Amino acid sequence: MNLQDATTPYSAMTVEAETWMPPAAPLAMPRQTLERRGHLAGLADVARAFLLRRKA
Amino acid sequence: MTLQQRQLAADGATRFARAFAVFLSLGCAALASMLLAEAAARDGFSGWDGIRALLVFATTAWLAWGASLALIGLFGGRSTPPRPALDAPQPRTVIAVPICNEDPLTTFARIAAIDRSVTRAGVTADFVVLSDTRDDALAGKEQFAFARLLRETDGQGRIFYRRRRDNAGRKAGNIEEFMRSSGGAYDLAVILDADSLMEGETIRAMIARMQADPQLGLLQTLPKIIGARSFFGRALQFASWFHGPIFTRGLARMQGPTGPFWGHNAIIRVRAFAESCGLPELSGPPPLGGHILSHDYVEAALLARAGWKVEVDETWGGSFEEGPENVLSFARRERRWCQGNLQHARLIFAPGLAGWSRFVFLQNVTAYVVSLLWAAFLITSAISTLYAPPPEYFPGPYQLFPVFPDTSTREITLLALGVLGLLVVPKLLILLHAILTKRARDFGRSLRMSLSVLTEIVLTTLLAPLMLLYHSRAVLQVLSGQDGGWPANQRNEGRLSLADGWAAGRWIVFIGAAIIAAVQWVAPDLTIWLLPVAVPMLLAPLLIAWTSRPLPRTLFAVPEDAAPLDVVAEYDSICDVWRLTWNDEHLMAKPKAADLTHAPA
Repeated sequence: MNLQDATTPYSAMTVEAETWMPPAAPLAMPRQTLERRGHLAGLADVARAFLLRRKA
Repeated sequence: MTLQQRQLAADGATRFARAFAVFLSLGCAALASMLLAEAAARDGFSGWDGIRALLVFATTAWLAWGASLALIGLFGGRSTPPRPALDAPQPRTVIAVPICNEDPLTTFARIAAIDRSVTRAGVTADFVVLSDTRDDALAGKEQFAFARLLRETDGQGRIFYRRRRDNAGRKAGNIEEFMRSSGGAYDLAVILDADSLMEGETIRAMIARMQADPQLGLLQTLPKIIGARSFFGRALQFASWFHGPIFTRGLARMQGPTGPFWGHNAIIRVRAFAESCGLPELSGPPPLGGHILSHDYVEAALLARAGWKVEVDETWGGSFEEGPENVLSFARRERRWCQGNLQHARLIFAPGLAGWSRFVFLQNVTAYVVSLLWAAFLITSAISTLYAPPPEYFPGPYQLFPVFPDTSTREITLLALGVLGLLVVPKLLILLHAILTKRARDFGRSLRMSLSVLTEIVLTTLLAPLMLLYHSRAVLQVLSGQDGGWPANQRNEGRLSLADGWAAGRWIVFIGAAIIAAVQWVAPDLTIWLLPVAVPMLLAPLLIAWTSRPLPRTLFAVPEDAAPLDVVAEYDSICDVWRLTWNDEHLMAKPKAADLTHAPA
């Protein structure tokens, strides 16, 4: 793992002490989307989910 | 709803439980609101009365929702969850302990105790300490303690330590960094806090559940508080052991496969977590923007969004944590959680979330905002009396005898009793259930247990006005843009003096005095109704100091007092030995900053 990896979202400046580091086994952890451009889109999503549930 | 979410749709019993809770909440709220409106209408219904009716509706609905959890837990909870055996080969498991500025001796003693317990249970698991400690001197002590831990557990190659220099994202960022750099080596991760203790058998059972159910993304246990010494701490501890399982059973039924994550004493499926729970920073500055503070609820929602089951199991006994020992440390914790929960308001309409996840975010916000609503109700009650018309004793012309106005005492009394009932009746029902099912013998038998329950009710009633002010202040601070951050827990805080109580609580005294003075001036008839709220406020310094005093174990007895579980006894024993030989001068040389050398996966 490269400490200077620019794609790592958090600065992973870690300190080694002897051989205490956990095993190197990278795993991708993509950033999730939690915000919409506008709340109207969010409200539309909730309304759509409600209407679909009623249809079902 | 996505395809994955439809596959995880709540079953009939869960839908019924939710419907019952909604019906009960709205019904009680409507009744409370009607009683208030009826009382107010006697002297003319003003706009202020309308506001009061709405406030009473909202606050009563919240109380009733909490009561419904207990009722569902008592009468409608699900049957005991499955207990599959752990098959070979065991999933690759790591027990992760994120820490930040913790006491090294107790933290690593806990890890040593858990390691022994896990080994006895036949579980193969690595440990990793994920340090975000800022202070170099304290980090040195951590590494000294870790070196000792390695020697005593022969843990080289299976117990790891990583210290992050940059603690971006706090605990969530700490865990994320581990996932990104080492997550591929493990199938499952048990997430603990620095003060967590877990029995090896419980961890084994959790791993077995995850192994048996490939759709289970996260399994949360119910941590019970241990090690409490003060009156306040032991009351909290008692509630966590006595009431906690019933309320959580109700919660488990209501939440179904969209359960909670409380950040620790839980097990996660590493790949599911990594694929689903990469948290972004929210737009805008703190306190409502920036890093997500109460990340655990958000991670649970994201797992559900991706189609993973998230469940809570309150039936396991071997899951423990420590709790606050006094009102002030409790209030500090509440301030952190308030800010984290109010951030959830921004996530209610996040894309793709399950409906129940959105509702959980709304609940999280309401849990703190409701205190402001109660405060607003008290204020508007006093204001509304200013607008009440004076009584008309002689409404008709040439009337000889006066007509005295109807009082609203009956309606207000019924309302007050109803609100009190929602708070107290669930706890009394749990008490009755414990007596009838012999649960009482775990809590010192019926008489002692009953005394504990009643004392806990009295204590929480006395402290409720203080908590109302602490919560209201926290909400107002957050809404006014004050970022409280997420300072590390100050564990093992001791006894508070009356001077400490006065320094921390004098603002509450002033508010209590102001309330009595104001109400006595504008509406003297209301004064007696406000005494249950105002008197505890006047006594705040005394309550804060007095409840921090040590309490003998005769009151608030819990099962762990009589027969400590092995891991707790082991931890106490290790602490005793380490304290005898702990020497702060034996610090390691400063660790070298070098290229990473990871252990082989």
